[in-house]
Formats: sequence, C-alpha cells, structure tokens
Amino acid sequence: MEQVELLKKLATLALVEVEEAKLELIRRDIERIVEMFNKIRDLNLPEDLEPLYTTYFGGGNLRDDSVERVKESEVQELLDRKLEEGYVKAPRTL
Amino acid sequence: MRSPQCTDLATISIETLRARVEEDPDFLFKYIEEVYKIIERCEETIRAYITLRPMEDVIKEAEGILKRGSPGPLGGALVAVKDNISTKGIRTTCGSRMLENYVPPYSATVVERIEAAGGIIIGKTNMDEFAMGSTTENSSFFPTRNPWDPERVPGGSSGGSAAAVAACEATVALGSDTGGSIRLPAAYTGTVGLKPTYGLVSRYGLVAYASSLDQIGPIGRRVGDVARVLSVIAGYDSRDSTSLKVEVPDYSLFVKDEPLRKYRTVVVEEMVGEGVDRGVVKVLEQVVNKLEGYDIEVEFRSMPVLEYSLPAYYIIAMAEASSNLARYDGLRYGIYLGTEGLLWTKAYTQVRKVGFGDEVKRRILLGTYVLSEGLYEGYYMKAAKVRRMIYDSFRKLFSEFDLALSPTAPAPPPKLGEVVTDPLKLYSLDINTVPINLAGLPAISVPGGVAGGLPVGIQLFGPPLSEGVLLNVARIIEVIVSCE
Amino acid sequence: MSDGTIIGLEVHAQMTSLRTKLFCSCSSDYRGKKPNTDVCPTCLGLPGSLPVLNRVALEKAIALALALGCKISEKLFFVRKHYFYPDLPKNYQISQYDRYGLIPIAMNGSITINMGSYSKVVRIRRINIEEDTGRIVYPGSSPLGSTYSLVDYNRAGIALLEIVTEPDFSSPREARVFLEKLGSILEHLDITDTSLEGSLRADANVSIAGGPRVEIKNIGSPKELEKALSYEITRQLNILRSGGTLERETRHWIKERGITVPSRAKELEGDYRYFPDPDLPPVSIPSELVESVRRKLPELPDLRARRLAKEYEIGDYMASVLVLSKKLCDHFEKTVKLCGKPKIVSSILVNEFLRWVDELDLDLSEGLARLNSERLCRIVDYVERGLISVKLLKEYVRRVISEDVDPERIVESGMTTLTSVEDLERVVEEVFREYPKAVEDARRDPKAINFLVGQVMKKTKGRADPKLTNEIILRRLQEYEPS
Repeated sequence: MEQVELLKKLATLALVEVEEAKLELIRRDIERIVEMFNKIRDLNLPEDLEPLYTTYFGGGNLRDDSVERVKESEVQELLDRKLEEGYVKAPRTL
Repeated sequence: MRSPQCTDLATISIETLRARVEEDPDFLFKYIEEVYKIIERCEETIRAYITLRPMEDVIKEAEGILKRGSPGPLGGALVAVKDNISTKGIRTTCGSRMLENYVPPYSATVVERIEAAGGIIIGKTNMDEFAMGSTTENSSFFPTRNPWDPERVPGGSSGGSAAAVAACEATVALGSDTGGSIRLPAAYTGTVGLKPTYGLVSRYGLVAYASSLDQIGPIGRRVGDVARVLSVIAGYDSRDSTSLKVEVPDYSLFVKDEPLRKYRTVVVEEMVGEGVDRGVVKVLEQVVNKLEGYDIEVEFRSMPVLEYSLPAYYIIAMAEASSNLARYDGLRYGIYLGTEGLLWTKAYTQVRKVGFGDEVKRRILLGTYVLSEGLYEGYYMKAAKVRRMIYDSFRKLFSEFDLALSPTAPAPPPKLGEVVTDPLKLYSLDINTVPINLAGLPAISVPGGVAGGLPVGIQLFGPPLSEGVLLNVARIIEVIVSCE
Repeated sequence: MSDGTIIGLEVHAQMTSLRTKLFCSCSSDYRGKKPNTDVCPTCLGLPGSLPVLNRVALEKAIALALALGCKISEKLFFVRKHYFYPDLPKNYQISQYDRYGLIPIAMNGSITINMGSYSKVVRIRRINIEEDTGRIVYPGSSPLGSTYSLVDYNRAGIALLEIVTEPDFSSPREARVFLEKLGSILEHLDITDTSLEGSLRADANVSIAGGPRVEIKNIGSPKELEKALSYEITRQLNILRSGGTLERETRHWIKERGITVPSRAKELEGDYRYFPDPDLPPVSIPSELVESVRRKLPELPDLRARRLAKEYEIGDYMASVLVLSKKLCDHFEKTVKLCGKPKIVSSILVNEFLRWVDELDLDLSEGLARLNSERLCRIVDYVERGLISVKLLKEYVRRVISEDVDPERIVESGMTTLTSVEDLERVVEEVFREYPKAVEDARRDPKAINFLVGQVMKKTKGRADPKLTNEIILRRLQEYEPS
C-alpha cells in the first residue's frame, strides 16, 4: 500500500521506526490527521500573503563577541556519558 | 472552590505565607511539613510528581533562605516545576524514557529567578511526553489523576503541575504552554493558569517542543499567586533570542477587585459554537452577566478564520517538534543502549524506537512529512500563511477591544482513557486555546464555576503584553465566583 | 586541459578572528585543546539550550559581502538543515537558504583573478553564515577497521562563511588562483587566518565534456585544490577514453595518496527539510550598519595590487601575485621599507621564495619566518655589491629557506661569486684540457660555449661569475690554436 511505503520513507528520514505490530494503527491515525492537514493544503490563498514564522516582535538580540567559559569543574558534567580519553564514543560512521 | 485534598494551612497564598514567615520563620517549616503530609496521603492516587525532593533537602533550602534575611517576593513558596524545565542536579525527564535518567548540568533561567526570589523547588511534575498531549495520559511513566475526580484526567500537558497545585501538594507551579498546555489543565483542575505573551518569559532551559509557540507560565490557586510568580519569571534574558526587551511591571498591582479602567470586552462566536458543551457555555454566560455589574459590557464578533486554527497549529507544532526532537540520539545524554558497534543510522533508530512513545513518534513522522521536499509549500508554508491571517484578525479585533473571553475547554474534564486513543478527539480539546499560541498572545484561565460538578475554566486573552488587564479581570471573576 | 571542463566551488571559511563561536560564548580558539573542553549547553545541543547570534560575525559577513560586490539582504534569516550525523549535535545545522522567500546574507558578487596572460571574472552566487560541526576521529590507526568512532565537539558551533561560486572555472589552475585570492581577501578583511589548519576548506564540482557533475569533498588548501581537480579530470578522461561512462557522484579527496575515492559515508544528501529556525527571528540589517562597515573596510587586494604596482613600479602581474597572500604582501612592504629595492625583493619573493616553499611543502608563515626581512635585505645587499651573482642568489634563497641559516653563514662557507680573473682562467684551462671536442665545437659556433660555461660553473660549484667566465672563454677561444 502506497501509504505504508510513505511511512517507511518518513521513518528512514526521521530515524523513527514503528514496530510492525503497531504499523497499521499508526498508519490509520496518520491518514486521518493528514486529512485534517489537507484542509490547509487545499485552501486558496493569495500568492503575496506573507507567511508568519514567529510572533517575536522585538528588534533582535545579538551577543557581544566576548568569551564566557564554563567552569572547568562543570565541563565534565555537561556530557552525561563516560568519555574515552575525553572523546564521546559514537557509533560507526564508515 | 477548594479541592478535597487541601487543608486550611496548605491552601495558603504566597502573600500570606510571606507575611507569616517574616513574622515567624518557624512557620515555613510548619508549612513544609503540612505539604509533605498531604503528599504522603494523596500522591499514591494523584501521582502529580515524577521526582519529589526529600523533605530534608527542602528544609535545608528553607533554612538557607531564612538566613538571607528577607524571604524574598516568594517567601519560601514551594514551587512544583514541570519536568520539561531544566533544573540543575534534579532529574528532568520530560515524561519520556528518552530522558528517564537525564540530570541537567544547568538550570533554566526561570528556575534561577524563582530560587533567587525565595522560591523552593519541591519537585518535578508529570506531563505528556515532551509536552505532546492534552491529558497527561501520554506520559511514558504513569497518568496523573484529577484531584477533583480521580477517574478523570487533570488535562495536559502540564497535568502534574496543575494537579499538584489543586491538591495543595505545592504552593504554586510552573508549566509550559504550546497549544493550551497550561490553560487546559488549569481549567480541568479548578486552578488559575497563565500563558504569557510570546517572548515575555525566557525559554532558556525549557526543553523545546515547538519553539515558535512554547511559553513557560505559572499555575496557582489564586490570581494573586500567579501574578506574583509572573513578576519573578518575566523579563528579558540575553540567552534567548526570542526574549523581549520590555519593562516588567509588578503584576500584583493589577490584582484588584475592581476594574482599573473601562474594558471593552468581546466574545468570539466561533469559540462558543456547537462544538462546545452547553453546560460550559452556561457557566460563561453566568460570568458574563455578573461582569455587567462591574460595568464590563461584552460584545460578540465572528472570526471565521478560526475554523483553520487546529490544522494550522498542528502542522506547525508537529513540524517544529520533529526538528527539536532530532537531537535525541542517545549519544551525548539520555538513554544509553551501548550501540557503538552499529552504523550510526541503525544505532540512532534503535535509541529512538525505545526512547519515544507512540504519540511522539506519530508527531515526528507527521512533522517530517509536512516539511519534506515538495510538500513544504503546501503544508508548512500554507499553515504559516493561515497563521498570518489569524494573527492579523486578532490584531484587528484588539484594535477595537481590550480583551476577549471564552471557555478554556470545550467540555469538562473527560475520564481517563476516554479521548487518548483517538488523536483527533484529543486534538479537539485545544480548539479554543491554540489560536492564542499561533498569534503569540497572552491568556489566562480562571475558574468560572462548575458543570455537572466538574470545574469549568474561563479563558481571558488580549493583545501582546496585556497581562495586567487579564489579571485584573481574572481577579474580578475570581471574586464573582467565590461569592456564589 | 580538455575543452568543456566546468568547475564550480563551494568554500567554507572559518571566521577565525572572532573570539567566540557563532551562537554561544565558547572560545573560538579550539585548536590544540583537549577534546570536549571548549563546550557549553548550546554548542552541545543540550535539551533546552538556545542560540544567540554573535554580533561581530554579522559585521564580518557584511564586510566580505561588500568586498565581493554582493547585494546584501535587508533581513538576516536562518534556517535549520536536517541530517543525522555524530558530529552534528542537534542533528540539524543552523545555516541559510535561498528558497521559499528566504535569502542568504549576500548574493551576486564577483572576484576577478589575474592569470598572467588573461583576467577572469568569477561570479559569486551567494554567501551564507552557518555553524561548523564537531570533529570525528577514529580509535587506533585504521578508520576502516574501527567498530566505533570518537567525537570532539570543540569545533561545533564555530562560525563559518560559505562562499559559493557559479561554475565559471575552466581549469584547475584558475580554481587554485581563485581560492588563493579569496583567502587573501579574507585575510585582508581580518576574517580568517588561512594559515590555521582547517580554516579554509573547499568542495569542488567538476564536469567534463558536458558530462555529469562530480562533487569532490575534503580539500584543504589551494595547492590541494589544483592537485585534486587535475587528478579527477584525468581520471574521468581515462574512463571516457576506455569507453566507460561517468555518473553523478560524490567523491572524497585523500591528500596522503593524491587520489579521489567514492564517498564512503552513507549519502547524507537527501531531504534536508529546510525551514526557518524559530529560535532565531529575522534580524534587520539597517543600511547604517552596512555603511559603517563599508567605512571601516581596509585596503583590499585589488586596490593594494594597483598601489604596489604604481608605488614600487613592479608591474601588474608581480603585484597581483604578491597580494594573493596578505602575509606575503606585508612581508614585501616591510622588507622594502627596510632596504628598498622593490624590484629585486618582489622578484625574489615571487619567483624564488614561493617556489621553494611549495617544493619543500613548508607553511608560508614558516617560510617567511626563515626568509625574514633582515636576511632578505642582506641577500639583496650581496647582489647589489656584486658579492653574489643572480645565479648564486637562487642558491642562497634556497638554503636560507630549507636550512633556516643566516646568509652570512653561507658567505662564510665560501659561496661567493668567483671574480678573480686569475682563478677563473685556471679553471677555464682545466675545462679546455678536459673537453677538447667541445672547444672545437665552440670555435666553430660561438653559441656552443654554453657547455663550456656550464662545466666551469660545475667546477666552481656555481660560484663563477657568468659574465667574466663568458669573456674569458671567448678570449681563450680566440687565442687558442688547434693542436
């Protein structure tokens, strides 16, 4: 079914896997929700209507270029992991 | 209107607590003990907390505050903090297995401000996983129950915070609101919940769900308590690029039993339409009638674009959520599965499969969908255009009026299990609250009465930075309702 | 090179002159630090962390845009570019985009390169501001054998400028000169110190004979760029000549082996799901800001080249080569201030110094440190005095650079021009005795004395004064009588 293919493709893009057992249930829910979304998709809106991506109306927040170091002692706490010679252990990349 | 778990002492307001503590510092310890007694009695049923700090720790902190001399504006108040707000050294799970054992190395700005003002963090409250839900049933750990009726939900996603406040297991609480997550639980639990203007309260340290919609806000048993906490947490934070550089007034000054001036007030017809329970509408009508006695006249206006607010909201919220949750891969923090031998794509997939619940997975998939190549313009961009229309409509509305009233929720709190299995049914609970987030406006939910013995909340909302007006009218409604 | 070679570049330049990273206050000086010590919640992407833009980064980006003659956008937009990889803390990169009504900081500029016999205008499509990723290293010696990888996030969040060109290059050499010039502009603007490892990286897109585009990643310097492109074009030509077909792909340049290989990392190409970053609302770029940056612009390479050519009378081409490196150019002006003689100094720097630095694979800064102004002036002085010939000059320059010695030491070792007529005559006698046939040839054809001159040079280890040697040999040839 085309929908299942789409779901699998999205799952690969987002690295979110759905167990086979739940696949049909989730697919059905997603289908209904997309139908709701299509109300927006099918709207006829003027080309020049500018989208609104944020309701922040201030002038902007920029930061001065001055260094603020995290305390030595606290740096270790930043990474909630056992490090290997200071590095974060990560999965294979090759 | 007091929930059955509360005792006289535990029901105390911040103002009274502060005054009593200044007079007699020992009072603070008496109060703390009282609260922990209630928790011991009621938590097994209510389950508002994911992490409760041991009483000894809280007592120690209280001692520290008293040593400072003045107990600060919060006077030793016990603050329950929603578990998606970072607290240094205290586990912050976001209601998710992904962060089940995550202890943040830093605190959110609001937490630092609360502590500096004499507030004591008593614990971290239950929530829908990553704030995705409207009943707190999507918590990966357990559901929270409504103190008014344990068979019913407390609302969500800040259900734990609202329940803790309602059951007097805390003085006040912090929640977060993306599409109604403070206001809905406040309405369901008979408490007061405020979502500030977008940008008024710093989001630094709030685990992001939908960044352009999220705001942190206070939940309390009284309008006065909410005003006090807002004064402490609001204001510019240089660590948040969406933080507004504005003067923050003392919001307590607005908590008066009389209107501070003449308010032109409106009810948007679509918010009391046929989707809304008649019992709830009746409560609103009664409040509106009583308001006339305060010379607050209410008019009606129609805003047809609101028909599209739910789909626009969910497209935007899910898109941003799919992005904000991309970082959870088990590499730097959170759940650890020892997946190093695998290729990174496989390793991440495993972590995210185990770490995320179904609703979160659903929203990530949908969010990915609406942002994908070829679909972006039809979904996300169009939703943003609808957002512009809603924003402009409200702007126009508030050029004529000072504030608007509506029921917070379309019906009284449902029973556990009643809506959570049907996503669309679940989403529809937000129908009156999401337009507010889309437009970035401030809103407050205040108890308006009961319908069928269950709490009904009235939502007040207004133009940006109108929190003072909202608090004033909310207080008046509070007075009206308490006189019945 | 073959007709139909089309090359486009995508350059990433770190804004190394910034003190902090792009979106947080961590120090930008990450090189040489222990891993994961120059980090904070924001550049690690911890839950609840937020980005705040570095004001100076914006100013520097505007400066580059002005220098390249770009159109600067009125508002600054940031987007999120999504893909999963261990060196990307948030699994999205904050960058810029040019679709859906969003625009990068600057577009449509150009850089003109001087190739000697011709000039070329290279069009700049856009300039983006974006953040750098962390670094992945591999345990043990062989990346291919390891079952896991190691990540250092010190570099994550460093400010980058991405400069994308139109596919205007038709040879690897042009690409190299462009990258050198861009690097020089960045240095003159005090944005990037290109001598820092990893500060200037390039990806190249190349297609030949109208074929598919091949992307080459991981090129770290102008020199490598020329090598990589030459290799790749040859590789592609060989495939075509043997009847094969080319396909669109991404390849990786391996500096140590001088080859490109198919990219092993699973293609991260795909749907990046760009959308405006909600944590970074659009920032206005008022014209006052642009003008204030414009007023503070320093002397840029093109203008500097024109000034040098005029002020020192060294010619356009010589000047254009000098300005390809700010350090080289500064060195030239400093040296000339010390001892004058701009023509010789520039000639030494351009013709000798650069060649040796290239051949010995030395860092430019290291080379300049060895051939410092004092030593350079000393050498020039020796030439002026006649102590050494032009030929010996080359030897001096080589030895100073490769051995890091003072020119005085070389003089002491006896490497001066042999001008004693007596000594030279003796050597010429020797050569005449050893090569009677060559002498015969030379008597008949004066041009053939070069062999004899060469032998004198060999015997005197290059010290013989060429002019004198010529004279003596010619004289002897006339005096000589066949036996």
